[in-house]
Amino acid sequence: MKAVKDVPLNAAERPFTIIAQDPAVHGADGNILTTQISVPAETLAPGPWGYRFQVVDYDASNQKFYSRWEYEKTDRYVDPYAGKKVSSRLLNDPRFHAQNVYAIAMRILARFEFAFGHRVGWAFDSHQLKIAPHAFEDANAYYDRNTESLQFGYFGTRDGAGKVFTCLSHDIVAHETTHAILDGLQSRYFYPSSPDQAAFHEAFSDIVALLSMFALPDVVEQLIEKHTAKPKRKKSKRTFTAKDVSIDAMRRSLLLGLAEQFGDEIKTVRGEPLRQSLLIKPAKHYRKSAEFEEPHRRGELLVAAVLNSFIRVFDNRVRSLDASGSGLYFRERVIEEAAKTADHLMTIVIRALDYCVPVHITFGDYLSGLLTSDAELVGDDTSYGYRRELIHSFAEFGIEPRVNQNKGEPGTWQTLIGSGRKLNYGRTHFGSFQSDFQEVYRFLWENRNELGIRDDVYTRVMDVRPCLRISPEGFPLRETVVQYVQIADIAARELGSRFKDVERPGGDLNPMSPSTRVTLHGGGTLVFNQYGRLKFDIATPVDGEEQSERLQYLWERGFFRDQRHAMARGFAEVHRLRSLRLNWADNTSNEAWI
Amino acid sequence: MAEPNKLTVKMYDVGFGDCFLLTFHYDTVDRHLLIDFGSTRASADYMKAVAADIQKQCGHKIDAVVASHRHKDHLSGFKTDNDSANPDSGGIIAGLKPDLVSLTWTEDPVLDAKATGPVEGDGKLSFVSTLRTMQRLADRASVVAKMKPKGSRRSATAVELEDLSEINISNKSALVNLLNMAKPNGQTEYLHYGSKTGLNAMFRGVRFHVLGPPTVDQWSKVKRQVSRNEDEYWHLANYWSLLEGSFGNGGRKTRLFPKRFERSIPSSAKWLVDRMKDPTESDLLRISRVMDRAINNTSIILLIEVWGYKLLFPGDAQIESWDYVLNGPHATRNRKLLSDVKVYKVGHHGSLNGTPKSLWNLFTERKDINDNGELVSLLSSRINIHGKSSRGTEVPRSKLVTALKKGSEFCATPYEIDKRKKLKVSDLGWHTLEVEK
Repeated sequence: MKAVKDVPLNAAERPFTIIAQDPAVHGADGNILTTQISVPAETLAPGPWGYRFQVVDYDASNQKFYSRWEYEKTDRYVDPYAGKKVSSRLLNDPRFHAQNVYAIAMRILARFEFAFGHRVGWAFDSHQLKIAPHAFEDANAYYDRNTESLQFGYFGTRDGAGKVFTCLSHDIVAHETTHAILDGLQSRYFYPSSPDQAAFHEAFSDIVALLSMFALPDVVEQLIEKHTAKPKRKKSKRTFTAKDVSIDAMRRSLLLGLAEQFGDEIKTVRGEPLRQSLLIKPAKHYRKSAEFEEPHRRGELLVAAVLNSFIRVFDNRVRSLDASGSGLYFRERVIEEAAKTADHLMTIVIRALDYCVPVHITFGDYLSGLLTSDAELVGDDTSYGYRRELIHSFAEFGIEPRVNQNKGEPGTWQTLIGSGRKLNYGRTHFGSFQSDFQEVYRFLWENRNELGIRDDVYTRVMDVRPCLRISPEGFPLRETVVQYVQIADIAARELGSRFKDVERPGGDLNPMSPSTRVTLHGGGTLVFNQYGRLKFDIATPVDGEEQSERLQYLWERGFFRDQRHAMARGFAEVHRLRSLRLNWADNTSNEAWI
Repeated sequence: MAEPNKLTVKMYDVGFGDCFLLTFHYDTVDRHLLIDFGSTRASADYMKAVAADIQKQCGHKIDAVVASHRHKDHLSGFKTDNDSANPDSGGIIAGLKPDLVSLTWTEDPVLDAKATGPVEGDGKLSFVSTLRTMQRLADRASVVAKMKPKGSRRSATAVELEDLSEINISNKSALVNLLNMAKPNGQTEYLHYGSKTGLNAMFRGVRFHVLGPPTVDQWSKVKRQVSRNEDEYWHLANYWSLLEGSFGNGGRKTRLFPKRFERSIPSSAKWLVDRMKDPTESDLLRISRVMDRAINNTSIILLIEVWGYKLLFPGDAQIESWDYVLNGPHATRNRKLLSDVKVYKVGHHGSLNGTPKSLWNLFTERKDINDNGELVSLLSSRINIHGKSSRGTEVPRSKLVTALKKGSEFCATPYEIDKRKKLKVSDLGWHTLEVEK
């Protein structure tokens, strides 16, 4: 693919050269593998600074502010690094690093907004997320809500000869950006809840990071070429045999191949889970084992389930390439199909968030969200079987959809349209319903009994998002997604009485004291169709039986004894623990004299 | 000489640290066992005075020395400059020519020689190698912590880092002394959970149960600890060696992009710049804490039994190590064994993680639950010496001290000692506990 040097100012997208995977990965020509990506065009200020991201290249360890590139000096949008080989000179140019993080972050954000059909906000009150590509000398990288920033560290290689820059690893940049976006969408997923929720933030960010790489044809090509036997005859250079593209061969070259390429040193930052999830073999018992109760290990299961379905769908697509039955497959088409599969799957994976509860997410919830989001747009699953493969792969890892309905699509949320549920629409106005929080709240209030919303606890509409989604066939789907939360701050003695379905944790042996303050979170996602009628009610009630299990889980981990600690940790710590593979929740803290 | 008829336990006041001399009085001889000899709050002269007193008590010959783990507050007294004309504390102890020196399994020189870097697939080697790397890092951290930025007061982080790294620095001289002490005629042993110790043969009529530390292999068998496997230590080692590279330059930073920086920070960037921090100190502190804990959990846990009278010396073992004793494969036997302990050397100087509640709840000799309870607790540290009670970090932990005072006859280093100053020779003091058959 030839690099584009520049595009006119009225272009919708502009090109940027980035490092495809990380500087340790080389292409067939022996150079560091780069690729050019297109992101939504905007006129940049030096930094680069755009309307969603500001690169602030300050190094707190050295107290230095590094040079910036002046992008808009001509009357065209230029990619200053187009077609250049990434040599040591470019690796020592902070401006290239800045471009790398900016472009990857923009691409991920654009991917989210495309999938959702609506803009995505941050979890803080400003329009731009700051990115510090050389924030400090340390083997760490993280998203930090307080400083509204992504901070990437750098550190010396073990032989002392070079530096490792975390901002040059595609998966790390994509992973951190995804944390920030997910936090903006679902700010309560960071709350302590269950082993699944503890694992979800990391796992979801890994999934997006991996799919984001597989969606780059250059990355796929490098992986497949590296692991496929070179053809003897020149003639067959452009084709693969059936053996080359068997599902096992693809699993080897894409999943194992990528796992192998995760270098030793950078591993301390991204941690073992990413690699592990590419290697882990399916088995149903993991989810129940103590080992996989630990959040980072548990996250591997979700990542692995998605990646296995990626390989299966890709396989379905590859099979369809050989319609003539010749047993030969065009290389370019195979590579294209892999990138396309990753891209589609990424859309589904992202879009699913609009069909998930705003609090206490479980893997089963997420699977139902995935299936629903896809079924809503693509009625017919027979061609490539995305949903079939998702159900299959998740089941292999012991993850069942939250709902098991018989009617309609398996595993999807039950639609309320035509269900006969009596909701009162009479007191709300359709027009303001798509944007007005008060109007939506009025709807909740009027229908609280029907929706299982308590009127004696704090309730708040968190978000009202009008969406326009386009199906692969080009059909638009208009929806309004509403999220609300309910919060009950109570004393433990109210469990079992005022909240009669929720048990007080600890049992008889180690009971929680009646005066302990407990905060229960509940909430739901309501999806309205284009006529303003409620289509899905996806909720977890503030007083539901499931709260008992959550409280017990948190109690056993000492959360109520040391709340201050648990809340203050933030992502910096989560990532540190992830890389060290330590438990973030100390399961022995009931033993301490706290 | 079937069994002793009397036992004397002498706990030296060392400010913060452990030093216990146990004398078993037999009909015709006295036999002596020294458990730990270290302090962070005593001058070299003070430690020498303690050593001289030990020498006097033993009559110039000690039978056995136990060093629970390699923290400064447990072995600084063994340090020596090998000046035979004017022996220091370590020289005096070496001169007592112990026949047996008992160290924890991670001190085995065989492991030390092999553990040069992270060893994938070998838990023991990886673990030891990690500990060594950690300590090299601690040496550097102590330098970083002492670097006082011009014109500013040192942060609480720096102070805590200095305290922690001080304890964790590699006490090479003391360790070499311990390794050589029993040569050429004596024996050096390396203990882990379940080891048969030579102490049993040496002290007739006394039983020594080694209840800790578990080895990496033993540990990984505990269901709840399943994520703490070899792989994890390999990871730790990897991380530490990277950091070592970063702080290799005496804590100084390497310059990045020497030609590509701007002379002044653009004002538009200031909001974030003001909020960004160099994580060196807090990072080092965080990992120093992990290191501190890991080394504490290499402590030998000794349960000593004489005429059914039990004394528990757990070093600085923390909850993780106790987890193996109390919830591991021999949990039932161990719990029974520990239930009638009469003398408890308070674990880890009374920190919040040193005495698991379920261990405390096992003790039937506690005075708060048993009118005839005989429990004695020994704490060779001054109260409130580290940390802040407002932050719940004080050592010893006041909640535990309250429980100890209620449940046992509580002996600790006097409160009057000025915690900011090092102990001087004139402060020399001890507690003595005498038990007759």
